[in-house]
Amino acid sequence: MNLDFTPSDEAFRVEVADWLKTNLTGQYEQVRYRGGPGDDEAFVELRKKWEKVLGQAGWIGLGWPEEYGGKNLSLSQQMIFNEEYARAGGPGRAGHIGETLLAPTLISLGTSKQKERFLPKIRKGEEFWCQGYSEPNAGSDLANISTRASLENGKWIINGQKIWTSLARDADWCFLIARAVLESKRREGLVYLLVPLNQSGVTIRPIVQMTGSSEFNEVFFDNAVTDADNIVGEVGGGWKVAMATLSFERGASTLGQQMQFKNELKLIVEEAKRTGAMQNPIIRQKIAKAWGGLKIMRMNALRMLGDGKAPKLGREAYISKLYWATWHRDLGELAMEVMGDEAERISNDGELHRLQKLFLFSRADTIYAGTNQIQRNIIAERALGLPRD
Amino acid sequence: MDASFTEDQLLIRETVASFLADWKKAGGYRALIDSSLKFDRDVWRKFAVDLGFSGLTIPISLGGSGLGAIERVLVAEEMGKVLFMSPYFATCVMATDLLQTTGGKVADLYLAQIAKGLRTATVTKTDTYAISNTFSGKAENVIDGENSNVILVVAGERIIAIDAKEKGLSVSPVNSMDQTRSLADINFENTKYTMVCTDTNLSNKIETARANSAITLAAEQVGGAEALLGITISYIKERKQFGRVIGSFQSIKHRCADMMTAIEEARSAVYLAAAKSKTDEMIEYAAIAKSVASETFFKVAGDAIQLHGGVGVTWEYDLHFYFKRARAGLSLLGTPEYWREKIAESIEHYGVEK
Repeated sequence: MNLDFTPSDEAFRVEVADWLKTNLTGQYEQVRYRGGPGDDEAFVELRKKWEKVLGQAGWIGLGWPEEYGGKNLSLSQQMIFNEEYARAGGPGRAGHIGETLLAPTLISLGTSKQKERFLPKIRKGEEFWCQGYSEPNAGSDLANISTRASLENGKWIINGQKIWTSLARDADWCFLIARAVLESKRREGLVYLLVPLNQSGVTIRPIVQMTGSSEFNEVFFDNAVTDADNIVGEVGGGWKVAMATLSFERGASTLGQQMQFKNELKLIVEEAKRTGAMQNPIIRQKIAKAWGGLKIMRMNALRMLGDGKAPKLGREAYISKLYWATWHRDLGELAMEVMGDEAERISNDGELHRLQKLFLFSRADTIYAGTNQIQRNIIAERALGLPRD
Repeated sequence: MDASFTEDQLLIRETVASFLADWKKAGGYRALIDSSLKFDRDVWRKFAVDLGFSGLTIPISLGGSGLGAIERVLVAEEMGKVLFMSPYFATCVMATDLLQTTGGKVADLYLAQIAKGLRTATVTKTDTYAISNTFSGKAENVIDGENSNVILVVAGERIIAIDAKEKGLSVSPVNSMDQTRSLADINFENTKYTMVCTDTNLSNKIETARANSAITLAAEQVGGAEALLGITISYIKERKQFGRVIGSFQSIKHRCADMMTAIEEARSAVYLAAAKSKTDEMIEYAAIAKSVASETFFKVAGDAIQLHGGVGVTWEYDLHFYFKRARAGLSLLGTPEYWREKIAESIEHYGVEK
């Protein structure tokens, strides 16, 4: 066990940090530390422009094979990029759904035509994606999909509703799962489609959350259309493709996420010193616990990485979501505690303090991408081998 | 970067695991407790001398294996699983860490003897003492106080070593709730001693030694919690109520998921602390490991009893031995609150970056 990165990894770290220092300046100064989870609505156009800057410099698609314009970097270097990006306060990535979810799916399961059509635009930061999985009656029970897709005259016609779709208003395309085979049940009969959003058959409605902002959306499909060859995998094979996409969600971005958490903890400590809460022994215990949790999270990620050859699906991977989501929700509560009386006051312009936003938005962390309850089911059944209900 | 273990490290773990499996098969802690023994001398000789484990972390120049914290946490995890009763913790962890941290001729002499398996030792601290050419004082709850050949006493700005055979030394065993770790009170009356170390910077050294030992204790606790999770999972897969195995009920499954999450959290903390044990941040990392692992062990032990239902509170089932050990381990070498306060002090001075 050696937790030091190699000299070439460390050189790469310096390269990333230097580039960010030079480029995250000028007009981009104002988007530093902005646009992350819970703050997706901030500076959308400027953040999209920033994606093009990233793309031109070759920072998108770091893990992709070279034949698709990627850099084929090791997982450890991808992690380092994300860690440095967050350390520098790099803005929330408008393109991360395309880059980290759709692109790996296309690379492993897409047709060559799909790869040619979609990958370059993701890599250049020119096209943005959202994910259409959840529906009003298919949340934790994702297989209960009722959105329909039928192939008519060489086009897929889509009808139904998706919900909790992050970044939908800022996306050009949506990858979604829909039921293509009449009377099919559960995981059978589904298709995985790539659907353009800029068309009359698609209506996007923001969902106002308890933060007052709208990171999630409803997306309505009313005879929406996409080309026949915009299907990934086969008719009836949509579930498998959808699960493959989810499997790419793990890994590279975790160190970046943890660096964002660390930035938040830093704010909390500064606030605690300012308000005097840092002298409260109970607050001190909680701050110490949060700090330890961050170190543990990073070690968990390194354990998942193992010897760096291929990420393992060990126990440390199973607990990852449950652990960070719960930790982050607790951090939100701590944020309010250290603010003291000011926690209850919202500034006159109506804008929430970053710590207030953290408190409110982190309630969603233990719900989206598999609720804590679903995570516990998965751990109990898959990692501990307990029977299904 | 490589967060996996080397083949040598895995081999050490396997060797210890198979040795301890035999020990358990032969009766384990139950046999010792029933016969009021604190440890089995034959077993200890095999482990310490034949397999050479007493010198695991002692430098090769002193006759040890010269290995580090990673190897030792792997060994301790296995010991924790079966509640191995032996002089290992007092001798090869607490005393060894203190002697290695202070260094010097006397310390090296003792370390060489420990490495050979010739000596058992323990550490205690006392505030009620008088010292001149001889030492008088008393120490309470000394781990393995009854069966250590040498007692290292921290008294003010000095560490002294007292041979258990010296005149004026009397040992009275403590009837401890946790029967798997023996405690004794020791009284010294004009007892001869050897000076190991006297140093104005002694408290920092003692804290470093303590933090090092705490990492290994935390590893034991992870092992204990892991064993309990295994015992509990087997039980709830068999036990039927309402016509189905209780392990199929969500309220039970979710509690097991939380147990496993806490264990993996503690395991990461322990491996991280072991990997960082030679850095200048080791106190903070040890603080995370000890606070998290001791709380995890105690929580998991309580959960294991709860999920076993009625039989969980019986003497016949093994759970209470683990539960009592977990309780004792919360305070041993510093409570979770003590260690978290250390972290808070560090954050106050260095910020969150360290």
